Amino acid sequence: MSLTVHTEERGDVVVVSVAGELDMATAPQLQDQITDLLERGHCRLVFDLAQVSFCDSTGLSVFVRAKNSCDDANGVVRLAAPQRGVLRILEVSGLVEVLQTYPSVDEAVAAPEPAPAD
Amino acid sequence: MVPLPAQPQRGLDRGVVLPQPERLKVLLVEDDEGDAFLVTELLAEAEAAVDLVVATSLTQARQQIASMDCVLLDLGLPDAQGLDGLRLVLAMAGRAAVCVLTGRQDEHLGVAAVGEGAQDYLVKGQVDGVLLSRSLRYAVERKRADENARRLREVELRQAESARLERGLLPQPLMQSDQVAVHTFYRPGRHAALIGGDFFDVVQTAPDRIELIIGDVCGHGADEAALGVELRVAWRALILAGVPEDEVLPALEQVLMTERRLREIFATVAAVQLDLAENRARVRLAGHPPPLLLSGGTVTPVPAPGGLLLGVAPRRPTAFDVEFPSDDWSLLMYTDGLIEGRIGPSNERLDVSGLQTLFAEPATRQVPLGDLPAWLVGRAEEVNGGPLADDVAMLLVSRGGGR
Repeated sequence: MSLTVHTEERGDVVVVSVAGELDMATAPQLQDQITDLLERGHCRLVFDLAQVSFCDSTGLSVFVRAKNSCDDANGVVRLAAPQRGVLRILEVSGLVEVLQTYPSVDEAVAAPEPAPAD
Repeated sequence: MVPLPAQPQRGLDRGVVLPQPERLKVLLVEDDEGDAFLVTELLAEAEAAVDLVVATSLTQARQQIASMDCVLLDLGLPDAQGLDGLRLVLAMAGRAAVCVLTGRQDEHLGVAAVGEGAQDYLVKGQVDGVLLSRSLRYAVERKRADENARRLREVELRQAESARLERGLLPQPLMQSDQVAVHTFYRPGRHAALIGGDFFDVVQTAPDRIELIIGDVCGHGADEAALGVELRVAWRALILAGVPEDEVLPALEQVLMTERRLREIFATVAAVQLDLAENRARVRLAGHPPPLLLSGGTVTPVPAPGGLLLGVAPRRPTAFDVEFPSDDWSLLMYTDGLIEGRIGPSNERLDVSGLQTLFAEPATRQVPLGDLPAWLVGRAEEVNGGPLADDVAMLLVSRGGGR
């Protein structure tokens, strides 16, 4: 199954809408888009996962990598609207604690900045 | 319509269609206009199925070489004389065959060129169109045969490497207990050429103490598999060294974070300590799906807290104690490949709940314990409608009747 990725700028945030299955075969495609966004100076990313029906560990590693890169650039990575199965994978992996996850894209875009760490 | 030139029938029946020889794309690297013209004429005269492109220097050749079947190189170019020029061309040729042209006086260069890796050499003034065309075609075929042999060799090497890594990832359990039985299982995924980083290990530390671990390094490839081997060996060393139990997984995480190639590489693990005297287990999960407990005819996931996978934001996994209700039980530890298969044509995946459902099937209850891992993979593949995408590793540790 193929993956489609759309990006849309909302203020200083880029909403990356992903649709399809995120696995070993399709993850590089999302990674390329993220690399492209980072190269163009975007480091505040919200991933709209509403249309993602599956995500394996390769998919998770794409989000971890995005978070590392955006953190380095004082940016932020947020996940929005994961389906039940994807949310479960985020929970089992524990990444739900590390990758801020919101019920909707609007909430993810509008979420306040976390207090800066000491 | 442009009328096609009449084709001589040469005694063949009308209507018989012979496969046309494939047209060769040949790049002639030649600075002498006269020589270039001569080669063009020779090929045209012989009606050779060759599309010739001329480059007058190596710099120009570099831009055109990618789509070529064959390079015909004059060894007397101004920007790279003799064999030095040939070495440059061989380095950039990729899948293209290389033939060289030498003058009558330096035919020895042609012999040396073949020694360096060129497919053939031709002496200017001693070739006609037919011979030239045939030499180019043979050169291309020879190069293809060499390429195929090289690829085959690469596949063999990769298989040998995978086999070595597998031995490192999936060792023989280090235990002698007859109080419990351990069954191990591994099945590479559909992308068998790329070995994954699934690993497991079992170490007995005292007559009534057995430590087990199963884990998965994210990603596929020799690097991830090698990292899986490192983690597995590090874990065995930490256990054998008697490191306090709460320090083992943090130390393993430290190994992962210092040895990994990229920062986004993480690993999930499930670790189990068996205390056979007390008939209980202590389970620690780091981002890994929970082991299943088989006991009293039921199958339930151990309700240990999830914990964060290793390598992202270090923290200590929480220990969770399981008191076995009887002396007949099994714990099934597995990697996510087992539960990520589809259920029929939908987008739904098997998951832990689906795995429980497989256990509830009457046929599964009849399967001997030792055959259970293979049976479960077989059922998961059946409901998936084909081989599972990812690797599957399993550890089944059983006491008494085992369920």
